[in-house]
Amino acid sequence: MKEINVFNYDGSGFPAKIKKIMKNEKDCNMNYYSYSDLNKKFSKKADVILFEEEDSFISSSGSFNKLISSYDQMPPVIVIISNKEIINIVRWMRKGTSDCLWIGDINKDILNNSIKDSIEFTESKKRKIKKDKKITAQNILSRKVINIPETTNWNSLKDNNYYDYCLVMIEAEIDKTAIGRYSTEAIEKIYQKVKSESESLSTHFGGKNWFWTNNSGVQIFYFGDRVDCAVLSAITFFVRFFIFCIEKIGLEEVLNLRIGVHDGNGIYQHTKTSQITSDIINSLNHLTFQYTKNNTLTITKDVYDKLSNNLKLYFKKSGLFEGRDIYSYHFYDAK
Amino acid sequence: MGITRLKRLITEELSKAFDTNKIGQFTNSLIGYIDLYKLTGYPPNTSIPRKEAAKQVVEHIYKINKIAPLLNYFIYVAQTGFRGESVKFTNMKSVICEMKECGYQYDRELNKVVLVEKNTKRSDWGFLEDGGSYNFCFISIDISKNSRLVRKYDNSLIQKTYINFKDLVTKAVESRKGRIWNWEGDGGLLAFHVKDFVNLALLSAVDILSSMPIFNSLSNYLSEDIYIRIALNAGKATYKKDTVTINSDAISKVKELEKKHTSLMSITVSQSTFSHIDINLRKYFTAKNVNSENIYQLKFPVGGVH
Repeated sequence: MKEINVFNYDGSGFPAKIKKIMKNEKDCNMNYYSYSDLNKKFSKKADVILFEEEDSFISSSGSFNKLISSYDQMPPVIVIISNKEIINIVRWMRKGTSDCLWIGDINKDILNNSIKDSIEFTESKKRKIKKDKKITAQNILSRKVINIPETTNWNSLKDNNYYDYCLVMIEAEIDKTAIGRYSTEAIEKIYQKVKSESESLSTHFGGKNWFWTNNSGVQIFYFGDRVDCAVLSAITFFVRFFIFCIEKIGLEEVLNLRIGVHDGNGIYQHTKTSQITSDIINSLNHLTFQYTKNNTLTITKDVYDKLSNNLKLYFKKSGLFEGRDIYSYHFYDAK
Repeated sequence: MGITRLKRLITEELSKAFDTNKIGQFTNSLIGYIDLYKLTGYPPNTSIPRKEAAKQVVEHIYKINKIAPLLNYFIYVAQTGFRGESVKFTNMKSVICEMKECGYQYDRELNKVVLVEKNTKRSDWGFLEDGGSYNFCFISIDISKNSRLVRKYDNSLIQKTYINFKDLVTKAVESRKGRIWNWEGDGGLLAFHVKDFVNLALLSAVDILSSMPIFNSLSNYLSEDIYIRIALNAGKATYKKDTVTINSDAISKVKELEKKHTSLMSITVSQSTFSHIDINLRKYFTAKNVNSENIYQLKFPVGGVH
């Protein structure tokens, strides 16, 4: 059963005409309203609307606007015009109506065909929108193939030259409550193992340990998809730290861990790394030691913006750093 | 050929080291009392030659499929003696060589002789007996929303991705002496039995879960990430060669725990199993009451003392 709402201007003979045309149409339920009904809140659903023009588009557009504002999802609208001028018809079509029928022509066949075509036209538009959305969503989430470099030639970078690179700063620390259980020598050995693990992992993703002091250090990524590689290395180190501490090095607890990731331009040195000073390293230092809580992995906006879409999903906005957003690793929102 | 020679070597060693009486005592210790007269066919009150006694005993043990326990006990006796007396098996080296030829191996970690197959991890660890009841720790693992994924993606993409996922699981499980007993494409039942099997099962589960970000980035051919659920429960089950048909209360419970009480990307452990988890690891779990029983959840990332 098709619900057809008919809107006419006050005092119009249009309802009588439509009733006569549609009296034998058993699959159409006709509902009649006037323009003044649009002054109240109107919420009657419809499959099709017949809207009678009063003189012209210009004189009827106010009422027509009230009509369309009362529907969340506008059904197809067939405008019954009394003004056959082309410009009038064009104005109605620009308003998104599905058809314009001249009141003088209107009969059962013309009206039924128009109703049928208008419904079909609107349905096909909806299907196209849905399809386009699906494709777009797929495009957003389509998995980019991350270029992890198979070989890296760090000698191709020259000392004291500036390069775009991505840095990962790692700090591991024995919790205060556990520190009494370890000798100085044991602590040193633990941190040495953390450093080795960092080197092994970063190398796997095309990076390397750049400099390391006691319990913290920096990995550098320059080759391939450097940002994706750096973040993947950081995520891997972060989520597998439990297994590393408990199983690989046989501790009784997991060390505290902080990781910061930042991307930018800075000076490069092969050796004498303790003498390197640059804005990117300073920023990374602040990010990791002042803006990253224990057991958190934080990345800057510079990193986030360059991440592939599927890796972005792991991060949530967590604050501001140097006036810009920072993002923290978020494994999964268990629901 | 190999097994015949192995039986002959063991027979020779037993008959050289023991008299008939001691052969009977050796057999009692291994498989329980056996009437040597009945076994050998010698009339009662006659002397059974030691070589004949040894031969029939070894043959009987082979028929009841207890060669691995025989080898275990043989090595044990060689190392520790028999009934307070030291025992010298003169041709031990040949027995060990022949044992290997027949597919048996002394596993130093398990401290027992196990049957091994090249390139395969046996579901019985090389020594479980069909019909025997044992304690295990079971893991139920499942890919979430598999039916939706299967409808949405081309079969070849699903196959490639799921094969990669199974490889990840296999590596995490078998490196910790676990076994995949049942695999249904998108998940299955894993079993752990040897050594500290509950904690090994837990570490396998953590390994799998913590590998998911890398798996999703590099080995997942679908355009969306895969999410999983993992549950652990320890208990008894009767071992059968066809491991797909093995069932027990402990197995039913772990499946129910995984399907009904485990959030995505987390590990759930039953109350009874939790008490077997290393005390130092328990602090990383959160208790949740379900049907008046506590279950324990491990969510990621795990770490730090809070």
